[in-house]
Amino acid sequence: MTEKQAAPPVVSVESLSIRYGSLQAVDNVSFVIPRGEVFGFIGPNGAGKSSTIRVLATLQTQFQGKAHINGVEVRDDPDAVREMIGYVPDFFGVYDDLTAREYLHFFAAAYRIAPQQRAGIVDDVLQLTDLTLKIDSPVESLSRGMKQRLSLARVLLHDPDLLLLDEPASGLDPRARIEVRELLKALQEMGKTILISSHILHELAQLCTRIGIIEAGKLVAEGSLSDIFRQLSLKRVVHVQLAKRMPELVSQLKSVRGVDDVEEQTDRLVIKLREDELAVEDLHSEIVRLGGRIRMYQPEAMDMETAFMKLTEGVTA
Amino acid sequence: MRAFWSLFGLPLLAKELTEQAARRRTYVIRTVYAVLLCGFAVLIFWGEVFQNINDPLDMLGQGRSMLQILVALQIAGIVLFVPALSCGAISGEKESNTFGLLLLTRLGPGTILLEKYLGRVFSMVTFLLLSFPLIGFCYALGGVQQQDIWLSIFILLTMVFQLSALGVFCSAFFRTTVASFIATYILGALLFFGPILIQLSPSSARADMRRTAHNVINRTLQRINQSSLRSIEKLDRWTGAKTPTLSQKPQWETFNVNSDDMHIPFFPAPQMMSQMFNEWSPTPTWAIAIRAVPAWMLTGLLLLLARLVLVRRAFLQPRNYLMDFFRLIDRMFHAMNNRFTKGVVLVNDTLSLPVDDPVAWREVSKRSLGTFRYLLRIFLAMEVPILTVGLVVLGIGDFSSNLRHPLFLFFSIIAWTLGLLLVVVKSSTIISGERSSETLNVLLSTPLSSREIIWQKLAGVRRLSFVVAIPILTVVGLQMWYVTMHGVHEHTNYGYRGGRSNVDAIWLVYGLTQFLCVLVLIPLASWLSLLIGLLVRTQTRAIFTSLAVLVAWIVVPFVVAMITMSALGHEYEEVVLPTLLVSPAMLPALMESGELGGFSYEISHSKITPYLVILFTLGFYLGVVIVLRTLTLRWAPYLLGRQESGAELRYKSKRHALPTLAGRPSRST
Repeated sequence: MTEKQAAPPVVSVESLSIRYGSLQAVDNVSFVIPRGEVFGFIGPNGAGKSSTIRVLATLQTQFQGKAHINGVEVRDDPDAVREMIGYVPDFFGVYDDLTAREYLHFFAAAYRIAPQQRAGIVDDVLQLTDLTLKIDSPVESLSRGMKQRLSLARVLLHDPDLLLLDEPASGLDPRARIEVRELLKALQEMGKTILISSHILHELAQLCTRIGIIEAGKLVAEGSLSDIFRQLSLKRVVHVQLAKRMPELVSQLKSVRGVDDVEEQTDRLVIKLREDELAVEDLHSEIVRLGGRIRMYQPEAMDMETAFMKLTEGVTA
Repeated sequence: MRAFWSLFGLPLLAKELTEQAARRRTYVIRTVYAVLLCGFAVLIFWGEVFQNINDPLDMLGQGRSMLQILVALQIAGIVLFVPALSCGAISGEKESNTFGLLLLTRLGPGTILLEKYLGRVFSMVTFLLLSFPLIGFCYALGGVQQQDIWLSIFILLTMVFQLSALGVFCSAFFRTTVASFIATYILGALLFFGPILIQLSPSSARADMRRTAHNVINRTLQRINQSSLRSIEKLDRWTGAKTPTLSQKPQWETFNVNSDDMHIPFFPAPQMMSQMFNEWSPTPTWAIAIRAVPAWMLTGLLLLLARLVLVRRAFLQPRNYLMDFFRLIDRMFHAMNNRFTKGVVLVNDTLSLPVDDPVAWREVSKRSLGTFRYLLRIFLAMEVPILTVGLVVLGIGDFSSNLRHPLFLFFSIIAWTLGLLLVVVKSSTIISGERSSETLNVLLSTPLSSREIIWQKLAGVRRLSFVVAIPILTVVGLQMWYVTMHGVHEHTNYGYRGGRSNVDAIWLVYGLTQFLCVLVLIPLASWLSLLIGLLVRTQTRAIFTSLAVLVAWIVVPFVVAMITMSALGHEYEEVVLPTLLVSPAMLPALMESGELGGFSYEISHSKITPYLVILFTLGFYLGVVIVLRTLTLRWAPYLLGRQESGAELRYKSKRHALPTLAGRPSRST
């Protein structure tokens, strides 16, 4: 048995339930996040995402069930858990009276990083988040996107195993959103385990290795994207651009086994296929066999919106 | 037809009343109001009416004096409640960004204003309705005519409409409810006392104040040099004084403000009541009612002004007035420093980065009420006037014939009030401020323990407490110096008949007691406000709740004692008076007024020495501080809302089981 196999998952939640008065916010939720995975937590407002994340961040005082971080139960040793996590809340407040350098040094001291190491670490995280030029700028002068990147820099200071990001892209403009997404990809490549909640489904689809869909406090689906995709028998969508328009190819493709529908758009064909009957690679071969000269071949990562709509019913807790 | 009735639909008023009806708080406040009103009324009826009755038939005809008490109580309730109820009518909508939406509806600004205004008026009228059974009881006892009841209701309604209009005007003018709340009370006080001061000042007060100032100048000059007499003569000629100034007594002591002579045009309730219940010279009802005309005119004017500013000031940008004020002071100090010292800086604001205690570092180097330069300015603003005037008084010497100089009592009240105000505002906002700016959760997700966070957060409060304590102790020191210089004996107040050495010891006790009061009462205010700040969600609510609790703690024992004494009679003094020591202001007030000896005698007839009273009181408050501090630190994880190692908290099944933390916070890195 290898060391990796023996190590516990970074996050393990068992039968988690949270109740606020008469409201059952989270109802018997269980999931596991192995090391290095990016887990997307999807659900409508009030579904219980933030409450679940708050349990893992040791900020939820009343709950039932168990939540482990690296095998440590959050109630047994919350201080140890706090050393292992980096938490960015949904409303990320920052200290506007500090500069970016002071802000990061403040949290470096709070995380008890040795004073002689702090300057180097602060420089590193600022470089990673592309904020080096803003090091002495007052936090209040930073844009919202920069503040969000500063928050991400903060959670990286103590090099935690797990990042808990509650709606990190909410309220950001498109450019800032893309910057945050790229930063998260970089963190993913660094091997960080990330739990991220978001409403923006296609962004999660590009980033996440696993997803959990939560509605009215209940986890309605959980697993890798392909698992959920297969589980729901959803259609894979492939965008194909041909060198020239070929109407006969469209009718031929519609008769191929596994192809569900072919839609002719201005500059491309949008092909929906049943992946369990016809693999994406085989569709490519089939088009070539039928004489099509392919200029662009782009399978959609996942039709998350369809999955989400199919799995949820718009119910709130 | 529907269109016609829709004109009278008053949808906003309906919404306001429905919302109020749906809140549990509404019923709780009304119940508390009813209990207090009935409780106080019964106690006062008992003391003022029932105790003077020997025969059940004597009760007949006593309704009139009971009605008078009841109306006075209701007026007090209106003054206390109405501004607080009405000051958020419009500003609350502005704060929740819903006022713009209201203006986009078909409701006109005038309608919005009127419906908001009526919503507040109706709420208070429901409070007044609570007293109707008591009014009915008064009527049943006899001595009350029907027009008395109608006139009483008219007086109360006049006050409700008028104060509601004032609150709504301030609410329309200011952006925040806090600013509106403060402005409502200040404006109300100005409208009430302004005419009195204006009436007094031209004829008597201004002349007396001029003579007093003149006197101070004269005596100071006399001390410096006898040759200044020539200048005094010139000054006398300038002011037209017929007798030499040196022989004059301070005229301000002869002030005798007779309330019957005062004109209070905008708040006529006291005068109307006085006329209504004056049995010796009855005034016709219409003549009493007509006194309310200026009040109703003011109500109309305030509503008109509110309508004028409603839209113009609907979308004000947020402004930090404290920060603006500090910046203004900054500019002034920089200009003065550049002019007089050519820019010498003795102490620079720290530019260092945090090392071990990051939260404490931010509190003392980044927060406005924690940094050295702002604290120095607060210190100078409080200390310089006290020291300057105090030294002048010491120089003048026998300016007052009293044992203690009244000016020091005045400075003591000012220094205590300002000091406690600053400490309460600072302490109550250190955690609630983090909550409001959404930074608390981030801080709680760090390895800092809850005790460490609170302890470090208090670093700024500790500095501020030290700064505000100095002016209070300066006043104490000046008072002691004054006594030492002029040999003022106060032995009778302590029940001693000793020589000079005993008197000196008494003044040493005075100084020591005041020092201990500062040492105990400022932390008391600080820990109490901190605990309230931990319990309350928003900064504004934390400040108001803390101030309200502190003021109530200071005032309520006096009110209860007064009512109880009134009800039970003076033979129960020994039981009632000691309860006054439950008010934190009592001991400093007794020390400043020199009445501790008399108070000790009143409560024990020489069985208890003043020293024992001091020890008991200080011990009690020290105990309260220790309890507050222990509870706050022990419950810190629960109050902050996080799991914590060592805190034996299992909230899921034992919600009321509170955590037990062991040991002080670790400071290791």
